Amino acid sequence: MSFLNGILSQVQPTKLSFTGDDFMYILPEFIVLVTACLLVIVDLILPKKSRGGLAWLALLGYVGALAAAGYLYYADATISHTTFSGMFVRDNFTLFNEIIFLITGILGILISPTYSLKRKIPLGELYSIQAFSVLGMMIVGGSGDLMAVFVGIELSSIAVYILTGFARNDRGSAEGALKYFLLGIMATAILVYGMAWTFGMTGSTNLREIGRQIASQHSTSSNMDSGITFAMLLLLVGFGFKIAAVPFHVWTPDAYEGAPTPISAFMSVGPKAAGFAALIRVMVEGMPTLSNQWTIIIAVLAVLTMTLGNVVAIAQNSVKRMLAYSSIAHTGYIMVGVAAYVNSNGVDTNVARQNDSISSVLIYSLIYVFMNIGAFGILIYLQNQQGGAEVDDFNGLARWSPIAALAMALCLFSLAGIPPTGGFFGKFFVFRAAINSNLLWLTIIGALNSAVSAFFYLRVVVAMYFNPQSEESKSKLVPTRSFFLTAALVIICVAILVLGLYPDPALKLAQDGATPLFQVVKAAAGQP
Amino acid sequence: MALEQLVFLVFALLAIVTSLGLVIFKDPVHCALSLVFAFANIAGVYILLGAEFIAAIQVLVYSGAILVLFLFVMMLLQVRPGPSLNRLRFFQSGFGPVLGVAFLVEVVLVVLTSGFVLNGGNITKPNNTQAAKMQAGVEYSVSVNVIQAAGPLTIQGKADGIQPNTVGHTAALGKELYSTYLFPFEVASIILLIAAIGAIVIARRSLVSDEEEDHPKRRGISLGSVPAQGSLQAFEVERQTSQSQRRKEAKKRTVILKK
Amino acid sequence: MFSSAQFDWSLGGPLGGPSLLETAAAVNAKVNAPNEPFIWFLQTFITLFVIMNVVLLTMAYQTWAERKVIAFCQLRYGPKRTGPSGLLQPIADAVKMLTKEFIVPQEADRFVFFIAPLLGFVPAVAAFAIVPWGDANTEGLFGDWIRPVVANLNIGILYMLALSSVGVYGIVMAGYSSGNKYSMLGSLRSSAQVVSYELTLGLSLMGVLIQAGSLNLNDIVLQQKATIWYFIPQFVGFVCYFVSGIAETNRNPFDLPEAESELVAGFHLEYSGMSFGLFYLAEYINMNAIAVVAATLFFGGWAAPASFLEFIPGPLWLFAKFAFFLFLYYWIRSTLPRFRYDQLMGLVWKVIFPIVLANLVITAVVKIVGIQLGWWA
Repeated sequence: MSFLNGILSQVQPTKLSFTGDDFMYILPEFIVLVTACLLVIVDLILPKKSRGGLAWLALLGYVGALAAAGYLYYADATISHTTFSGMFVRDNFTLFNEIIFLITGILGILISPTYSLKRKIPLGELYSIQAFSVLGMMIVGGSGDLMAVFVGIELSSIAVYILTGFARNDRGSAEGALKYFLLGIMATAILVYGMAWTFGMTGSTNLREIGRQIASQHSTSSNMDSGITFAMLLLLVGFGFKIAAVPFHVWTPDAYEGAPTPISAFMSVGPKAAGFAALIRVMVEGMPTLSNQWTIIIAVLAVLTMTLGNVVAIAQNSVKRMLAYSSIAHTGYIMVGVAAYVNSNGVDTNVARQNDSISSVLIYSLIYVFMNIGAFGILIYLQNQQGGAEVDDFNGLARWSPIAALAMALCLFSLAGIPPTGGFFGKFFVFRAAINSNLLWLTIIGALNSAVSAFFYLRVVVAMYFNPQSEESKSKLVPTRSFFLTAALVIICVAILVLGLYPDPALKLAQDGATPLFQVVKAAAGQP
Repeated sequence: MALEQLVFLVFALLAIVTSLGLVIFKDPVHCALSLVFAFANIAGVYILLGAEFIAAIQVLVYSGAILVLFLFVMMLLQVRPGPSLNRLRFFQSGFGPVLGVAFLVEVVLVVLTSGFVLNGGNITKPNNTQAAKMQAGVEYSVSVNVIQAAGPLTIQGKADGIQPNTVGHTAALGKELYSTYLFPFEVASIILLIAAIGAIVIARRSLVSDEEEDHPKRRGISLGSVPAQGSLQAFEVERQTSQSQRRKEAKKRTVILKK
Repeated sequence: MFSSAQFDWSLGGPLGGPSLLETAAAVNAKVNAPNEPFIWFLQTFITLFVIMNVVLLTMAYQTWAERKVIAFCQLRYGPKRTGPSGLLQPIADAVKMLTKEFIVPQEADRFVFFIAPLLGFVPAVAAFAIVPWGDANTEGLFGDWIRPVVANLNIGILYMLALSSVGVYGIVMAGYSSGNKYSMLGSLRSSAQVVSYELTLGLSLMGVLIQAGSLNLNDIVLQQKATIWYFIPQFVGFVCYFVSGIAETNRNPFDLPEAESELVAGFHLEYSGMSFGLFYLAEYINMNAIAVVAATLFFGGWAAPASFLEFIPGPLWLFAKFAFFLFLYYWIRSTLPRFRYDQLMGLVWKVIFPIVLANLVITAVVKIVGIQLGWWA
């Protein structure tokens, strides 16, 4: 080892590239990276028949990464370590995001195989690119620098562009992928432009350094610099696209509908949560001084996003498209949580209140992963059995598959926010944070929107339980069994119920996760 | 006027003109060529800033590789000239330019009213770039080196951080890339890796067999092996069958001709 | 193998003498003469004038030499009517080209058709600006009125690669603008070929860069003078470079873009008169650039092979090495048959590319490990 160290020091006499500790703190990411690379290689070597084992390899990787993240948490629960020259931060916020992304990855693997095999989608590449996407999200979650934010977002987005176009013999898939890709690179360009402005204004790409610089500029002059506001606007547009906020949502319905359904499930939760992680990292850590400005913008966007998502979802006959609009609406709910960061009745820095706001975003994202993938999972089940994705195809599901119908009902109730499901608590935390920040108007709009959303969610429930199955659909029924899909649905239902009945541990973890951000904010403002 | 500024003006104006050409020309090939010149001029500006490595890479990668591929694709697909500006839809021809000009005005206003931290906050004042000052006395091949300050984590572009350095910034850049910026650098390589994997998966020859399967409901959702009516796959099959027919006909014709 | 010369890690000089920093500062003080910008410009202009003329004259007589060599290989005489041994043949050719009419096809995209030959020609000539024909750190001829190198760039190799990558535009645009499908096919083939081989061309030089620790051509020559010509340790890189270079310049056996039996004449089919002449010039000058860079990077450039031969001036050494490579070009052209297109692309992606990557990695590892173990400083 000393030999190697000697070599390293020779290469870089003044400064080492990284240390063993740095490496230790990115262990979960590293495990996912190795898994992703192994998947491609093993896929090449394995004979065609035994390629089902790839799913196990992918699952092993994700679970291993989860275990590594847990180990790092239990080894030192209060850590906040910057590694790789400040590029990656290992703290509890990172941890919570890693949990969200890894669970997304696990569920994404579980719901894929049967559907993909039926449609001749290459599984090895699917798993691998999905793992790369998860890796990108994890990098975003732990980023301490604009560059890491950028490369992480790009890694996850490019992977998802590719996944969207995976069903090659399908026009909708190609169309969705192309729209997603073209608008996505446009948004990326805007994001990079915003980052360039931020760098120009503050002289640094490091988020903490940016926060410090803006605070010191703010303390010397009463007006905020217009350049920083401009940078912030550009960044908000970029992140708004990644989380599919109105008016940057136009790609969403086509991309979700065109993509293979497991991919739609994956991309409706993973990249969205990553977008929120990036938004919170950059805005809260980097630009807390500007929070009065960005919370207002986010609040307005949240109103637009919720309303448009819910209203348009009513008109949809395709359940896939309906879930796409519903996912836009849920972006709106989560944005309410972000908007609650600042008390609208004058500036205060009550950390407990701010913590409520950020932790509500985190816990909502986690619950949303389960309920949305659950709804898509039943849709996949239905498509496996009889092919369709319309509301009519759900007719009589309760007759021929009561358990699936029950699971779907649970997921939809949760999406609508009806107790005792996890979705209720998600909305509860978000709206409570908004009320505490004197955003009553936003809360009322949110609640009204929830009521609207109940209409189209319950429409599917009604179809499942009260409408008879048509003869045509009976004739198409091809019973297929999938162990993985069943496992995913069981996990999801249990998780939704547990989060609904006993949310305390998850909430505690989310609150822990939000804490390190405020330490950074305090440090930037020069407080102890 | 200093010589650097004159040269800068030439490069900057040409870059703007060629960028405008990129937007305005009707023929996509002309647009791409215009972009090549824009890149070359921007490379010139990089050299004036003392960033010779970036300039060379700009020409090598963007002009030399990426745009050649663009042109390659355009020539393969036989892209025809698009409609002229006044025949576009209103949203493109009327609304777009207005938005663009509004954005430009906004950017200019922001530039004029805000102070940049980079370069000691003087980046917008004339005759003030450190690089220009350094360059005034030195040959263009000799560049400035951004020295890493002790504590902070990113390049400190402040005035005091810039020192004359005769080995050029290539070595310094390499050292920075492999130490401070190692993490994003490696992630960028992963991005390239998945781009390659994705391109191969999406572009490789179809693995789908031709088994017949009937599914009436398709509505944009991939349903397996049969090319859906009107899908790309179906077009492809149609094209190939018609081609082979044409080939047969052509053979017949040649046979007849020979007779 | 690498000798005891200091490497660039510490920014020290390559020869253990004055550091790069000091020498370059000295050169700047002398060459730039910041107080007399007019003189500096005049010197540059004169140097450029001389080098351009040498390059163009070489090119002209190179066509004669090529014909003679190929004729020798094929047991013919070659040109012998115009002047003694056909020595005036290049001049006759030039006169013919200049006096011919320049015809623009009706279907042509006129503007692009006009500038395509220029875009092919200019990068080819510009590559010679960085090639040193003497030590760039010393004074040139006639009190530095003719400098040893036009521009002693720190990014020398990158500059050369950038130019060679831009050179493909001439071919692409000529093919596109001619409005002729043979031209189009020729330029399509060519752009695919050139873009692919450019990659290996650049990567095969990376071994040299790692060994020399510099991108500056003059520094690399100095390093070789002090240690060893790089074609010995970098033999694999050299072979890959030369093969890629032949393909990059579309010469035999890789001249598919203009395969006359398939494509009539390829991308320049519709060109006539001097516009064709420019393509012709560009092709030969590109070839010269590849040869002269090979001589500089792998065979010590202007440096003499041994110290007792140093009485022969540097430019002559450079010219001798350069001529050797040109001879190799002709030899290969007259001996080897043309590749098939799939063989051509297979060769670059499946054979040369892995080899140069391996060469790059091995060179880097050997250098670092060697430093660590004290094999060389």
